[in-house]
Amino acid sequence: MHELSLACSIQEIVEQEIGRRCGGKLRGRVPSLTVRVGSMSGVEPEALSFAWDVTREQGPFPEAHLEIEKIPARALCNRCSRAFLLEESNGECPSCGVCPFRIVEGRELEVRRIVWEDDES
Amino acid sequence: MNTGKIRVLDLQRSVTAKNDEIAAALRDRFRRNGLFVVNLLSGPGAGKTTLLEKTVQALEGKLRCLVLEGDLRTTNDADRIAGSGADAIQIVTNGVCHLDSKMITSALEGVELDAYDAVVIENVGNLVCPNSFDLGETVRVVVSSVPEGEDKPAKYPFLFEGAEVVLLNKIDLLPHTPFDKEAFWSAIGRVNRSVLRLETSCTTGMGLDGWLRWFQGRAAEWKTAGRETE
Ligand SMILES: Nc1nc2c(ncn2[C@@H]2O[C@H](COP(=O)(O)OP(=O)(O)OP(=O)(O)O)[C@@H](O)[C@H]2O)c(=O)[nH]1
Ligand SMILES: [Mg+2]
Ligand SMILES: [Zn+2]
Repeated sequence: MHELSLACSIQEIVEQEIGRRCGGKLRGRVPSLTVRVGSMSGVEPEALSFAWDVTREQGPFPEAHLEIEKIPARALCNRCSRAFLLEESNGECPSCGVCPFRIVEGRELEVRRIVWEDDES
Repeated sequence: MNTGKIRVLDLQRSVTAKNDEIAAALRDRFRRNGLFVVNLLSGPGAGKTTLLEKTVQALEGKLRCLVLEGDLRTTNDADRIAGSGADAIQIVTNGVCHLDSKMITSALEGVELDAYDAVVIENVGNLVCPNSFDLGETVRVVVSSVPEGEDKPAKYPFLFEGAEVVLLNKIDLLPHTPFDKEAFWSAIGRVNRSVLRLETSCTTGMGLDGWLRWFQGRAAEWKTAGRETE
């Protein structure tokens, strides 16, 4: 399950971002963080959630709740330039039928937001 | 419990950035050596190792190949390649479903890359997981086989999208299955127009000449291109 390695990478990013803001020494709590997962990223959101729950237990922010923002794959028809959602389209352009298209959105796999409760008085 | 100051950190950080960074360093190293590197991807049992056995046999004396074999548990695949006359390094992932750039870097530690013209990395047989991990390869080649059915490109478009070559393997089985070749290739064409389409049977040898021609041609071209950029 590659989601486990990805969850470890997310953990690293969280530690880096917070460490950077408090001189390397982690402090505070992370109530939640948001990760964007494209439907073409090859990542299963449920599997990532599960992997995250295993990973966070062992990290400095065991409370961190993972919110996943799912990004549907958006394609652009090469013939008529119509934009359409791949999942809703049966793999073809709704206007001109079977024709080549390119995928312009849906490969995302990125940390977008970390909510950090800084407890330094 | 007193709560602290809430701070919202808005970011845009790729989760695979670290792997990508190590892969970029590998790619540099490969280019400096004029090495053509293939990341070979497929579902379990599509015929990657068999294809590589045939490939290194056919190219013996023409192209110096190094094969890296990714496998969940065993070293059988590397033994098979070594038996065919090429150097092979096994990477046992201990259950991890994909190779990553760090595993490739450690596998190549101390290896004289000058001794080779081409490297083929056989990824772990899996249609989904290896896709997220750049290995510093020059090209991706996807093997799909007749028994898997024609719906794989429609179900896993992201795998086929980034491939330079797709091999439809085990075509010797076509007479025995209702495989819809047209549906298979047109689903690939929709996400990847420039892909080279090859149909092979590693057991009868059918179609392997086209594959070998592409492989040799591309490796030679890459060597020249690498030298010119120096
Ligand atoms: N009929 C037929 N069988 C084939 C062909 N190519 C490979 N096979 C058989 O398919 C089985 C799997 O082949 P491998 O080469 O081990 O496949 P692989 O992709 O390396 O498998 P993993 O590494 O386990 O993912 C073996 O029994 C091969 O003999 C082919 O063209 N036709
Ligand atoms: Mg194999
Ligand atoms: Zn159209």
